[in-house]
Amino acid sequence: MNWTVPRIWEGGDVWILGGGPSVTKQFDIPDEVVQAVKAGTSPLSVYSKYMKPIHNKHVIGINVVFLIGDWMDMVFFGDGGFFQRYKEQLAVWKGLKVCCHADVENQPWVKFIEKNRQHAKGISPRPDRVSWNGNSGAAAISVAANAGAKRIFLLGFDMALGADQYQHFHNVYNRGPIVREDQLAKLHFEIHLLGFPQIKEDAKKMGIEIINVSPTSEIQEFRKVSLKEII
Amino acid sequence: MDRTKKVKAEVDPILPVEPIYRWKVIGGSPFHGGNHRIYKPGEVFKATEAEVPMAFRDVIVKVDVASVQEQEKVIPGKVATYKLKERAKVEPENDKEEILYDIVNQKGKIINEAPLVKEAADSFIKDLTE
Repeated sequence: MNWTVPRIWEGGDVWILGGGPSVTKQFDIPDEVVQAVKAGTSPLSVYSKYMKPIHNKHVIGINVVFLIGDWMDMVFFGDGGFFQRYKEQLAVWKGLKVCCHADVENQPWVKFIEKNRQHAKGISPRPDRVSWNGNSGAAAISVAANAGAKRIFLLGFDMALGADQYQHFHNVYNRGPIVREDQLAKLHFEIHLLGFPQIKEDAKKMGIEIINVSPTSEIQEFRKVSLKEII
Repeated sequence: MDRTKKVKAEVDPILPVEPIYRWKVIGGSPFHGGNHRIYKPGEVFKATEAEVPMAFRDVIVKVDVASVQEQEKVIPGKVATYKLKERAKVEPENDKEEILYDIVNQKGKIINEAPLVKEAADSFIKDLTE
């Protein structure tokens, strides 16, 4: 059954935590901790204690980010393959699980929210739809907006590789540094960026301020700040 | 003694179900499927491994790792649960005392933005759990 996002965060701040490499710098996570996570010797959850400043905020974790901790209100994902790989961990995770991929439609413990085909880019004006924008992080902006957010903070929305050529602040997908031509060719940052001009326009119409807490981000549509400036 | 006749049990044999996958035509030419259907470039279709010859696997690729049957299987999972917690009492102009509530999750974290009257809080819990 299709879910309609309730306006539970009316007038509030919502944080969307993506997987971009800038996240660890924003939370001052020591390099040895990051390296241990990337090497697979520490679980993603070791990042949790460094993220205390947002534990009590309204937080949507994108994809595998949910493994950091169950202090997040919600995990959002849009990929059926992701669900197949992480269904065991998702099944026991205590927060709200929301997905816009039809493959999970019949899972009673996952809220399924359809993609808005009439408004594929931007922010869905319908609370029972999300504008996909080509990636889960940008799709989650529709969820935050329709939950009533007045301000949306984007963390880890780099849309670029980190200095060590990693795509994420972890190596859970086991991709390692992206250096080979064939790996670089599979990156879709330019596609991920396509929706943001319309997101900016829709946010303005809806009276929502979007703040990019990813200072090195390739997204140019929103004010960029560091976490220290706002927390 | 009654003569007994051996009766052959009429039970359908249980055949293994062949996994069906989703495939996508990534090549520039249409693919002629075994069921006399033609799949256009970019089209996604469902077929078993055997129905997509190895010779075409460079232009016909699997969309998902898991089979359609695997994806459609309902698996048990934890539904997020919430309860109400009293936050404050307010006394509006009509002197009728009103209690406002927060919605808290299993970790005790407040989920709502502003305190809510009971009806609104109950309604949100319903929205989040049903």
